[in-house]
Amino acid sequence: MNFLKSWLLREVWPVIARRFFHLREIERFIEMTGERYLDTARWAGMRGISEIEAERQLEYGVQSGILQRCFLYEWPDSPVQFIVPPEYVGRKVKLRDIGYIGEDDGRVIAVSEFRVREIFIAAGAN
Amino acid sequence: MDWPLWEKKILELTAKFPGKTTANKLGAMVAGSTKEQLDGLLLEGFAGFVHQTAFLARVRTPADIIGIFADAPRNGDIDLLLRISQVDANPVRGRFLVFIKRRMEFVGSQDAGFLSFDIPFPVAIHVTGNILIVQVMTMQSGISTWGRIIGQRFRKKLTVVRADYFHEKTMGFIVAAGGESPKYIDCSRRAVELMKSNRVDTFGGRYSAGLDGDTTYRTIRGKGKRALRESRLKDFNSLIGATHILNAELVFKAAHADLEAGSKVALYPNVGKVSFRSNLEGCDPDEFLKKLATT
Repeated sequence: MNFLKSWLLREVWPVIARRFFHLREIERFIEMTGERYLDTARWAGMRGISEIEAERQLEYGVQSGILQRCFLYEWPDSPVQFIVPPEYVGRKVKLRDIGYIGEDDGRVIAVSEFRVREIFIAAGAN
Repeated sequence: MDWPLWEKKILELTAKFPGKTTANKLGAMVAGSTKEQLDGLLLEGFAGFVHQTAFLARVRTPADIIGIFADAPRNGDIDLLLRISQVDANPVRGRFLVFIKRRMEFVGSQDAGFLSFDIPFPVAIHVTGNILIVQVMTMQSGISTWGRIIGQRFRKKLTVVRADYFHEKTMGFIVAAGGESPKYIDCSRRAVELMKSNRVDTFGGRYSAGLDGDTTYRTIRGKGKRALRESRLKDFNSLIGATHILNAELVFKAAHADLEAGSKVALYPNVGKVSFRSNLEGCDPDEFLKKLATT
């Protein structure tokens, strides 16, 4: 288990869980999926709530400083998915600059706002 | 005038035009038709014939998006021009044919050096309910065909034409016109339903394991290749058990979900991208796409 994951398990998720009073649900989610980010659809599915309510709760998480809003680049022109901070949307990034190692790591990806989706990560996580 | 685009109909339509081969007759038909007739032919082609790549997105304000395209300029030196606008008020629905400009670069024959041309590519836009569908015609013409289209001889084509470029331009046009930023639709769940069907063979697939990476399964290519379900059942089960499917290569064994037997489709479900790799004669790609978008 890497540091980020163990840190999420130990420090961050319990805080979120207490806030939302669904500790067991979140613990099970982390254990089963190992996911490192949450999105509205996933949170709504886990809690059995509407996406609007899920968005409101995640927004509350951002306002409370527990979560950080980011974007996930998952368009098929990139060999890997990667998290993009909001200020990088609209800019170009080299694959090697996001830590990708491969033959095509010099390739430049234009991080368009139409090719990312909103996700939430633990505040302070990089 | 009705312009059905089935192959048989094409032959019927071209029969009265001069020329020995179908290509010659088609050329004569194009030359003898008005721009409006040819535009109609193109738009109809997107609904059931042309090889195409489609992108699915969700919009909160479909009427605004329809308004933006209905008001798009028809003339001028700009990147997107409107050719056909079909708008229904109840239910709110809009279908448009636009031409999007793409600069293409070639190496000319002999001493012509580098040459560049602004080529208008046809793109169909469909707004139905809260779904926006952008359909881009697949252009894989060889160098000699491009030479004939432009009327010059080339040694090499330098620009790669990708459907994603036209999707990006379409979305950019909406936002520049004051519209919302459409959000692509993750249709992984629908893709899994398709893969589970006994009428559909899956020959390759890739699924996401979050930021830890992804897993790809592919059957052996070439003659005698077998579907994943038959050759690698365990891997196939992992694929259809995934939440986010990144890619799935499907071949329809029998008619299913508005596509005919023999249809080949490459899905990129997590971003709502669909590439039709075969002739769509007899299929209803519009209905297929709408169902795929309904998660």
